[in-house]
Amino acid sequence: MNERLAIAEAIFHAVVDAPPGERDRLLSERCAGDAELRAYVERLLAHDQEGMGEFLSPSTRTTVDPQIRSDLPPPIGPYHILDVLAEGGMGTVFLARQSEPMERDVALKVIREGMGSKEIIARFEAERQALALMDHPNIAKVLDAGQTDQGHPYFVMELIRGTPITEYCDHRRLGVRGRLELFLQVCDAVQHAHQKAVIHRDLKPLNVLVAEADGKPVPKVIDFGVAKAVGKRLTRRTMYTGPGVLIGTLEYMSPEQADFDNQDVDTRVDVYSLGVILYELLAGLLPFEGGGTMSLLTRIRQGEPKRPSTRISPSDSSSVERARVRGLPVQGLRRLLRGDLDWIVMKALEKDRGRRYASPSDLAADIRRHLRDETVVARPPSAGYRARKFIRRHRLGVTAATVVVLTLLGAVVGTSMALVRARRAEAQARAEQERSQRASDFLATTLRDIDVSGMAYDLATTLRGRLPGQAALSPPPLDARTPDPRFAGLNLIDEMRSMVDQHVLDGAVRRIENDLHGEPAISSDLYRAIGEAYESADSARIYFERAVALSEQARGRDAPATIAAKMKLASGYSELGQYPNAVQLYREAVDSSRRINGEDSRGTIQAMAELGMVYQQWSQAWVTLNDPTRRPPHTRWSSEALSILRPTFERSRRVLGPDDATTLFTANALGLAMVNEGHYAEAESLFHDLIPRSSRALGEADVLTLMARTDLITVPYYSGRVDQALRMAEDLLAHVRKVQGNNGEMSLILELKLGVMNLDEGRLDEAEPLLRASAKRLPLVLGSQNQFAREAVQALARLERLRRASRTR
Amino acid sequence: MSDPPSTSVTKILHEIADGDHRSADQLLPCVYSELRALARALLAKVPPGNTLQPTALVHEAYLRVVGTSDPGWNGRRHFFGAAAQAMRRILVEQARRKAAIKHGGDLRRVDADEWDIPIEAPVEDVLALDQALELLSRTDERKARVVELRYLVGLDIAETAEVLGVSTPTVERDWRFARAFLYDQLRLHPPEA
Repeated sequence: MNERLAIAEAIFHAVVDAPPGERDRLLSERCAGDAELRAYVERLLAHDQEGMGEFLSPSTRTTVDPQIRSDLPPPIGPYHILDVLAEGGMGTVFLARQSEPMERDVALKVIREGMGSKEIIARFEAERQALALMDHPNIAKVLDAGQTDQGHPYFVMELIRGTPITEYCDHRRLGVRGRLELFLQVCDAVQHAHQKAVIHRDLKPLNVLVAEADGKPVPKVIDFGVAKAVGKRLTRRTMYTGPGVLIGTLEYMSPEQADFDNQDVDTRVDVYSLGVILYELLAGLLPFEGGGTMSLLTRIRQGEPKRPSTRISPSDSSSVERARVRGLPVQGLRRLLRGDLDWIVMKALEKDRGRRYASPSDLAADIRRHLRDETVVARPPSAGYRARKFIRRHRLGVTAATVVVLTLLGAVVGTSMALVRARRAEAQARAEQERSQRASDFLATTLRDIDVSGMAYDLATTLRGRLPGQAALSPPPLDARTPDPRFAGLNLIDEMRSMVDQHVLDGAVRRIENDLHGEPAISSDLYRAIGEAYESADSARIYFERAVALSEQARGRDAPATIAAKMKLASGYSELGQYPNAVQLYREAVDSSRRINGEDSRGTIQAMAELGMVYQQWSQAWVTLNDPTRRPPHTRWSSEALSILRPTFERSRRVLGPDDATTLFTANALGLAMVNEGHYAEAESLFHDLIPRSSRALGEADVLTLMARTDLITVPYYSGRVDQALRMAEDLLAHVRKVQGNNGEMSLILELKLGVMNLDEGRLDEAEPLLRASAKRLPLVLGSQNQFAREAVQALARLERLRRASRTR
Repeated sequence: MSDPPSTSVTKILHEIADGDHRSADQLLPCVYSELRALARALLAKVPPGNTLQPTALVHEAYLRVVGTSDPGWNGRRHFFGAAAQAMRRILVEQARRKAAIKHGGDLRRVDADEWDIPIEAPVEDVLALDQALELLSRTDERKARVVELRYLVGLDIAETAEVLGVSTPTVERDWRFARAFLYDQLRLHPPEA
């Protein structure tokens, strides 16, 4: 039987994909008169062809129903987990039972995010004493903090079985007075905490729970100390650590917290959040809500909220419902909110914290005044104040130097891939020229800091975590560059790059064109930054050209900013192979720098070195294209390079010192020029001096050090010792892989260079694996438009042509 | 409270990842009890009348075992390999128990409470499939593994290939033939006939 089954299988496979006409012949041939065997195989074939329906179709691999899914974790420290109380953005809250030193039920919150739990716990410990001092009937105590076996930090809190305050009020249909009375207790609790030097930082209805004791509602503020320990501060980094809403509820966050990189947070952030809660308790809506995360943050920082009473309108059914749960007709609720309560809420929500209530108790005092029908402190702003405010609002519209630059910060998985951050730089008119200069510097830095491969990495990591499919089985993500079949052939670096180009840079350019007329200096700086941000040298060149022209117009030919822009444009031309243009610009930069900085300045030396380098590249490009076998690869440009670099190197060494980065850069360029001119021995000893120096001064793994080691290989290569050159290249590749990893940029570039050297020497078998690897990985690492990525692909094509040619021969 | 069973599975997987192949033998029984323990732990949370899908259960167990620490390629391979066989055993035992009850068999032989885990029985007759698989594995052990991994764990072709350490075309061929063979067996020898 077994053997016959094996035979049947062999015939099955042989026949199953044969065209129908063939089939019969094949079966007769294979079964050789064995009718039983033939009948059996035909039956199996019939099953296969006619389809077996759902037979053995794997049931879809869904995870267990989410409700059932969260099987409870094992005990965490001394806490036995009994149930799940809530799942939130930050983590999961469990009902847990503590057995030691006393038996009691507690709420245990496990923070999901992977960020340094040691750090979180250390920060918690730092605040522990302050937290212990808090003793208030409306504050839930934080009892303990620690780390789970998986390394997630957790917090243990007094267990509150309550409902979020907004839900509670609506559910109980509390009227405005009832709501205010409840809210006053919350203010008192927060005030108490402030007196013990504890800021909550994350006040929101979910953290203000109302439980009932003896039939009376008792609000309890939970999570004191947690937000600070978790460090839920908005930074550019956290914004793209993950997709979607990354940092929980933003709607209650104060403008100063919604400001990136702002660390200056004081008790008044809690006053603001209390204001938002009060707004919601009264009007049933949030001051700002909806829209994307970025737009929400922008509105929190800059938008003027509508007064609560204006959110109640008789013609709107939602208003009717909101009034109903407050036990009032629409008109009644609107009347009740208008005046005092509007003013109180708006004062708590002031953007400028100096204008807010100074403390929760001030806020509470004003509410109490209102309840007693006394004049509130938050009376309407004076006419003068309103006028000032009007001017402030509208000056933006008439100030030429207002620019909005979008910066891509993160990516969202799914249909909308891009999260765009809008940053408004408010630059005042002439009187505040300096301020606008700072703003544009900031924008320029932001643009320059766009890290496309970093973003692609984050996106890849996020996608890997999110995409269904092989997640459980595929090898662990080494990095963003590992090809993943689930990305359907997408090159994430390219995708990110085009997203940045389309959504960020093009947008920025339009804004400069439209909004910055008459501000050539600022426009110039921004164009320069945009040029640096573009990957494609061709696009970059356009903006560098504009930067140069505008800077010359605004600041003059010899201004440092003009020189800097020219150097950028020159290097852009050089990358595009437009060497004459590059030379011309570097010469202008050198002349300007000489005039303003003198001969012995870093600026002049740097410009000279780059001028020499560009001649050197010009020479190499010409040789590669026209006479690749020329030895030494001398041209009139390489001798020009040598004559520039030799004195520049001497000057740099004397003025800036032998270990200065500019000197080291110049030395490397000089070494190459020497090789091209055939001064091999001199070049070799120069590199041998340069490499250890650079290792010491800049580090083993610094690009300049690695470049110098790479360039040293040209000495044996051009002087006819090809085998030695190849050996050195192999050793260097091994070394670079060790310091940078297999997918490090230099590793891949060296792999490419070694491949090309082998190819040039006709060693196709040695070249092939190297070129295949680099043609596959370089585009993933550097983007497919990168010059090395393109070179790799071209080299591989050349190899394949050679292979074909040798075969046909 | 004793260690949760997942701890030992995790430990074994890491030993395997570290190249300790002696541990592989201990894996099947551990995964087996892990799956049952998990099913029983979930029992309390399953609304009455609902069941757990075998495939979902295996993947849930995997997530639970692995947690945040990746057991490496080799560990994953071994886990799913063991889980597929363990799941087959569990399903067969469950089906035997049901059959025993149906035929008025001796209930004490299997502790009702011990075995009452709400795993959804596959559409196909488990016992007949088990026999047919047994038959198949006498000719070709690997084909039976392919079917277990595809049908009971819900892995796709590529994943199955990875677990078994063979190429995807091989798994495709195995799967195609095994499916026709089993279909023939189950249709030709219906269990009750």
